[in-house]
Amino acid sequence: MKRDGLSEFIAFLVTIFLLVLVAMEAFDRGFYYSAGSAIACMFLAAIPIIFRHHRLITFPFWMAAWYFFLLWLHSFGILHDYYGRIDWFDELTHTMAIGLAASVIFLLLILLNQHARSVRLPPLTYPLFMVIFAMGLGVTWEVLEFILDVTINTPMQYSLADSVSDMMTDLGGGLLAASACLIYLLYLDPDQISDALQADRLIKRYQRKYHHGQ
Amino acid sequence: MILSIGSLLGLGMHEGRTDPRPSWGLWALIAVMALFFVSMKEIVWAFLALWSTFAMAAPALAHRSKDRIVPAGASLLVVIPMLIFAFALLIGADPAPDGAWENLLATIAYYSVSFLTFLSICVGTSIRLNWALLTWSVVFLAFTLCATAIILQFTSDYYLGTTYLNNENQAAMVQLSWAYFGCIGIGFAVKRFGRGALSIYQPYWKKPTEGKA
Repeated sequence: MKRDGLSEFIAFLVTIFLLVLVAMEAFDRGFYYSAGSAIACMFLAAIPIIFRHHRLITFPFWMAAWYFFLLWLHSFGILHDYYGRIDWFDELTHTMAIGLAASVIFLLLILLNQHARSVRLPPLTYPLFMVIFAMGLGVTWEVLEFILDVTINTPMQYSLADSVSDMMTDLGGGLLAASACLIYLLYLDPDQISDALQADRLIKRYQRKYHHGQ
Repeated sequence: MILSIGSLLGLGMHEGRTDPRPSWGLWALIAVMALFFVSMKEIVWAFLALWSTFAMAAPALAHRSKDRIVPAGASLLVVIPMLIFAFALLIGADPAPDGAWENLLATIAYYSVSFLTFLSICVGTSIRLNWALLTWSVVFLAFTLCATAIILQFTSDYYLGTTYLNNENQAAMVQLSWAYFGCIGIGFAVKRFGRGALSIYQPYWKKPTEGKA
């Protein structure tokens, strides 16, 4: 696990370096929206590191690496207008992002199932929760884009086909991740997964809030 | 009004047990409304009615027992907005498709269909939930249902030449925003004010702990 922590930190530093390059190029070319997006991604990249440091939750290395790659891909895509120029680029980033979100939800469901007294989730119900929560995040993103487009005139939603395609890929990404996690459960014991997450503080906080007085 | 809704929720329940007869009666009514909405080409409502028909029947089909069905009171929550909309269609009071009142009614329907679906899952499986997980699962399923309804409208427009969305992003996003903010609002309201009335169904999602620590 310590080796995973070091790998994650190195991956984080590499991501920050790549995002700095994207931001510098964006500033140089006068693309301030792209530069702002790269800077926002730098802050977002710190999330797994902060969670690990505070022992809230330790994500598996592959998940953190997927997250870092996605942040860079998104910023790089905005800078080079891949979202406008390449038909499938938006679908690719959406599927990857929702797949990642669904995987995080999968880990949280395992924690909840293992540690919450009042919750029992048969493993076959995991895909349902993964899909609806992932889809809910996708819908939140679409509504946020719509509000920003209407209020401050950002160019986030290109057309109806684009919005619907985003939602379809969200659904597809959620289903894909749900299928993958079911296979994952065949080979790994939920207890092992739960222990590896080292979510002691998160669990304690949950138990203080919901099991108080029981 | 809250009191009368509360007493309606208990319909089909006697001393904590479900009487399946009124539930199956309401199931038949929802199935008929599904056919009606299909015939009227109301794709969103047809989708919701078909979804509810399947969700209600699924536990009974899975366990091959007609007693495994959600209480009639919960089905009523779904039937009421559908009946109002069907009645409005029959008397021709649908002046502005996707207007505020239709979006409001659809938002209530998304939430109630979602609640019915989760109650049905609780009846059909050994799942056990707490209030927080139940509330947010219902809200997020309602978002998913709305997104799916928009995908269906778009697909119908694209392949069948209908004009549900008229290729306007705004039409779809207004529907989605209504469902989004509306369902979050209903979720908070239910958690704050509806727990007492809905606790009648609590045995379905809070089963005996069976020794879990």
